[in-house]
Amino acid sequence: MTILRFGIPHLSDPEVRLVKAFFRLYSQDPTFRWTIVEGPPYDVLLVDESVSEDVVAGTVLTLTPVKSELPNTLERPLRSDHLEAWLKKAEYDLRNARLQPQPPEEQPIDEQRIDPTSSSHFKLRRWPPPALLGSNPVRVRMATLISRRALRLDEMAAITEQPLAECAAVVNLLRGAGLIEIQDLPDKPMTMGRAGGRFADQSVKQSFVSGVRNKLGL
Amino acid sequence: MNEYKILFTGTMGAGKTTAIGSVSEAAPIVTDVANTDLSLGKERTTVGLDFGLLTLASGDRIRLFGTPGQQRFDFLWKILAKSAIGLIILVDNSRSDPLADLVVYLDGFAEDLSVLPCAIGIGRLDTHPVPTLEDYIDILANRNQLVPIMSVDVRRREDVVLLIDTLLAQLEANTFGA
Repeated sequence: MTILRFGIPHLSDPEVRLVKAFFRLYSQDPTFRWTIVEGPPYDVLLVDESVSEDVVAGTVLTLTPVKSELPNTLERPLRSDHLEAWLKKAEYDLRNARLQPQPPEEQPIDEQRIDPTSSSHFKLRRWPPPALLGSNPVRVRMATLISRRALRLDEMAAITEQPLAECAAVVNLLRGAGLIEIQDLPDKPMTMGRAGGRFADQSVKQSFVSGVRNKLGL
Repeated sequence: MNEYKILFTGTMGAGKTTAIGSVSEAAPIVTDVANTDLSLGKERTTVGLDFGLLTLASGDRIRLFGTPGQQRFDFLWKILAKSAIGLIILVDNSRSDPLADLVVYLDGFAEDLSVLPCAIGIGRLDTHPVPTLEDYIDILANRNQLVPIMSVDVRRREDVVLLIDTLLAQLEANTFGA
């Protein structure tokens, strides 16, 4: 499922709350693809018409005080049904645009995808919305791992015993929603860290974790 | 043989005893008494420590402790957290201000949460969809806390197992990586 990124960084707090409330309602529809993100890149950016600074987004949707005949405008006060209808049309347009063949120099999205051979470290910025992880235990486990610590894909694969490609897919999914921070840390082979906490020995900890998972049928 | 401890905390009625019973190999030992708090539609509540048990093939044991829900017992929370390997916070979304409920437990265990693996389960989201999970995630983000959080039905074993698995993943993350 492709997540479409909606940005509202320039709106007032009351309108931010209003738009977030609308999105909660829309998210009851399992086909709804949009998510509000904290930072760029944006597929759509919702702005007040007074915003004059350069904004970087696929499409800019402008709020106006009165109804406008211009495309990509919505009048205030913002109405749930108007925004939902506009988002559905924008989703349709974006999907069609992405299906069009692109010249090689215009494929930044593919270039930005994390390759399974990547040696970068990935850290989760914020816990993902339920639509991204669902109750898939493997995805939840991967998100949990990188919520705690920046890890390479090979480290994620070794810990979760999943293929590198699956780890890359989850990281790309989270990254597409703006939830991943990439850290270029020194490249070191995976080793067990120092002991600490309730476990005196890290191998004891690993054995314990495996034992609990076996007991729980995981 | 080693003994370990996982804590289940949350408000009265959040389902701590039920969650422990969903995964414990034996019926949990329950210390409920008649509830005298008439503001809650609940006949009995925990005043001591409920606990269940998981015995691993190695002989190691995990005790699953349910803390008393009431905030007046917060001195016990800190004592229990000292040697725990994980904390599960259960929130009842049907209560009047469940976001504030979560904050009570995040504050109550604040000293331990920088190192103690933690997971949050939100119950009754199906019947009480507001606040949403995103609202809870916002609360955590505003506090610069990143904790796995999910909708749960504590009567479903797989939901409770998933919460415990996120604690295990946090232990693993602390074992490996940069």
